[in-house]
Amino acid sequence: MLFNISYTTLNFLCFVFVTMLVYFLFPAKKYKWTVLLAASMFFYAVAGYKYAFFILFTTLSTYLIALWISRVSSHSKKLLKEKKKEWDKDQKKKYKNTVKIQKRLIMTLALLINFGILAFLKYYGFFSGSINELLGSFGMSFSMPTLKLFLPLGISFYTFQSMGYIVDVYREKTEAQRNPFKLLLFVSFFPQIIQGPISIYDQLAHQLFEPHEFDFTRMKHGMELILWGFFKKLVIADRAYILIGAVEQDYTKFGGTTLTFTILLYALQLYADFSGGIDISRGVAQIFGIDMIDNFKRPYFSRSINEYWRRWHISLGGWLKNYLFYPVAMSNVFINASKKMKNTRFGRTAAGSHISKVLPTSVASLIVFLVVGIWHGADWKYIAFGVWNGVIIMISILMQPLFDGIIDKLHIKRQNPFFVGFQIFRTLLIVLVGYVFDVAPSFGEGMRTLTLFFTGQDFSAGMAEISKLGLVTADYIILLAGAIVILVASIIQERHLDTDIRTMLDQKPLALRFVLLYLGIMTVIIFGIYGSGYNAADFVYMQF
Amino acid sequence: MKFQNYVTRTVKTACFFLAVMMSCLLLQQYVLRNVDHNSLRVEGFYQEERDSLDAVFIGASDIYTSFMPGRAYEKYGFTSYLLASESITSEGVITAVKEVVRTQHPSLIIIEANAFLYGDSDNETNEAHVHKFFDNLPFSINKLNYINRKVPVDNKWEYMFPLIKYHGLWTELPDRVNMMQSNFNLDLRGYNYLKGFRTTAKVFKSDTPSLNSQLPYETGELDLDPELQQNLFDLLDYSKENNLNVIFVRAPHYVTKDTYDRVKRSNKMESILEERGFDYYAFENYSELIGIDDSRDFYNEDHMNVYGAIKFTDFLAEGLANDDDLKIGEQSEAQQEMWKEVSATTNRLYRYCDDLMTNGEEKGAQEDVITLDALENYSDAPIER
Repeated sequence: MLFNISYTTLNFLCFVFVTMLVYFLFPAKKYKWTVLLAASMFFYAVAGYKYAFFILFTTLSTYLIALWISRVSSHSKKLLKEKKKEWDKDQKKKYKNTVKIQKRLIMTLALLINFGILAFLKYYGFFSGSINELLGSFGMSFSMPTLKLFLPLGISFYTFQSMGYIVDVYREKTEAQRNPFKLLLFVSFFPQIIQGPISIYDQLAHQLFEPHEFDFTRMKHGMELILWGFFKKLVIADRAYILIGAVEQDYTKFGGTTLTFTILLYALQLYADFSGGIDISRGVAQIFGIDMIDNFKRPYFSRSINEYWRRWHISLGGWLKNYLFYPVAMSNVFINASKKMKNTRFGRTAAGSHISKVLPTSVASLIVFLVVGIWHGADWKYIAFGVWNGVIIMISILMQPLFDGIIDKLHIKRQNPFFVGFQIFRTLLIVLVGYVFDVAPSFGEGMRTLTLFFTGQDFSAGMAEISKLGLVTADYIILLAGAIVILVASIIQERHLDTDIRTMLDQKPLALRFVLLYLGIMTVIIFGIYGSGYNAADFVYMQF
Repeated sequence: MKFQNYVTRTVKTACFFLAVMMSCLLLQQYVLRNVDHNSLRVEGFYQEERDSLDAVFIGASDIYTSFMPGRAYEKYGFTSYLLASESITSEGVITAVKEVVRTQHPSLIIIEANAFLYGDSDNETNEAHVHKFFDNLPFSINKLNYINRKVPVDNKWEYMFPLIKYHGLWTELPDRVNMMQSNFNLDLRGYNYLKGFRTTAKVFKSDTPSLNSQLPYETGELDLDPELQQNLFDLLDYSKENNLNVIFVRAPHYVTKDTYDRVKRSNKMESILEERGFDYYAFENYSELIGIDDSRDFYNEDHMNVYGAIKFTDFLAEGLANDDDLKIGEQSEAQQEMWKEVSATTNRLYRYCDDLMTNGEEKGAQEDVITLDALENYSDAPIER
């Protein structure tokens, strides 16, 4: 890194300010997007110039492959049109199948190239380590070489985004981009490169290339969102990380009470960190007139784990749903298996009928969450995290009629506040169990932590441990106050789904708006964890 | 949008950001600031009326614990200030000289040599020492020049806006009330009562013998650290280019075997300065002539207490007063009143420290509310030696 330009630095704010000035004053409207491209290239070069080759290579391969697929599609359509009268139905069908296979092969090439790079750089160490360990346990002397690999900045995000674009071109949902520089902007747009969201081409691209004029309200809303992101990241997440980081450094030393508290705090920290970073990204994009998708919708208010994953990291969930879940669940193998099961004796029972119906969905869900686990990191603990979520979702899909029956028998109204509260609490517990594998240094430690939740609680020893983990009473007060502020804001958002808080704020008297924004800025300035007096943490999701 | 609406909105936005900026500046100046005696000393220098100082002393603690501007004014009538900071770096000394040129035109600049006598250049990058001086300098081209050249790229902002570094001090506010009040009082008053002088009331007792008596006969030299020597050359070049009357001094120290190398480097510095046409007075070699008593006049190996400081001040001030280069400027009545108050405060401070040391109490004494409150009970009559 030439200098620190992460989202919460003054360098970044200055960079955004200068980019904004150049963008809105740029005389050639048609080429305004080049300002964003130049800014994105500058940002990437500053943040990780050593890795620039990888993003350029991914963009180039994506560009060429998408054009290739597009050319095959258009050529086949043209030929079919020309041979409309010459060819009979079978000939047409045969040709269509040939084209389909050809396009699939090209797309497979794209998958191999892009996911190959990602897999090699991100997972080689994990796989070689695991294989060596396995071979070693059988007394075999062969071992895969250990390589010192680095991970290019944002590689998971831009690889997924590029692949999404190729699949959309393959499905003919979108036109292939003819201008490689425009595609490079879509892949590298600086507000999203560090930690997403993973945008869909059709949703983002045209906004990037459109010449946006300066809009005061949009800029104000963008800045308010950035401020909100700074509050979550600097005041809450980075403060909580002081304790979490201290525990992570010496994880095995701590007892059940400390680890329980750490996991609870991690739930707050992870949400504040990730959603705060996304707010900053979206706020910056909004200043330039670009609306990026919201990656979070109050996930801790979810009443089921399924709902949680629809509210948490929405862009990743959306990507996996579009490009993995549906292709798997709707594949011939799964549909046929479902049909076969339906025709068995078990399949004709009430339970069997339901299971055979939802089997493709539930197994596809498990596969998706296995990928989610692997996506989060190259370690068994992340795989355990994915499997845990996948299995819970699978069970909930398969057992749905049973759960519904119990609820009906107990005459529980589904909108009863206590029942809703119970569902939210139950979902949160399931989520927290998953988080254990995030925080613990290994799968084994994760399992030990789960045991300690039940067997290792010692309140006074825990309090003594926690008091030495770097936070003072004032920090806990700020964390509590910050959590309450987020909770209140979330309740307001949840109750007013049709409008956002910033629009609501616009309707309040000027003095109140001034005071609230002033307090917000001063809170971040005074209580934020930044500068060399503190060791500010990187964004958690940056590592993914 | 109507032009009027556009103007109204722009004014409202500007007012809002102005309020935020003003709040930040006030916080940075009075609340979330690492105020210590260095801050009050450096800030006091900038409160001095332009071109009102006859001499300015630059250096580290070696000089601000040794020379009493109030005493020099009372006895010899020249005005002076200690633009000094704890363990100041050689780059800090150069910047201080440039700041003196920018804000005052004293007939004489006296530089204490300590910053150039370290065995290596580690002090130049000692974050605490660099911050202690540069944080307290107001924005100027000289400060920006230093930040631009020397501060690592990721730390530049915090040198320009110290609030970035010190905003976390809110947790320590109760412990910092006295210094905050001292800072505020200094700004209200408009001048530093002691003109930068600071001391510790303590008599240094050591089992390690002082080697001061053999220093006049020491002729050995040790090379200066190359980086520090280059900075010295840069300083000399700058002084020549700007026709500055600069003299270098070395305050008396309690020299022991462990610190003896500095004496040899001091000898080397003397040779360098002589070669380049600058005066250097290593007062370490004149301890006996000054009347320094090793068993009474120091509060530690590197610093004299008020007993030593008053002797050194009388000796040096007399020498300066007789130097043709020192031109004593005319003063307004208000200035004279202020300097009388400075001399009176210095006398009270001497008696206060004397009292503490007689009773065996150890305490720092400087421009702050606690010390100034304590001085009220002491006489301001001139000190007779």
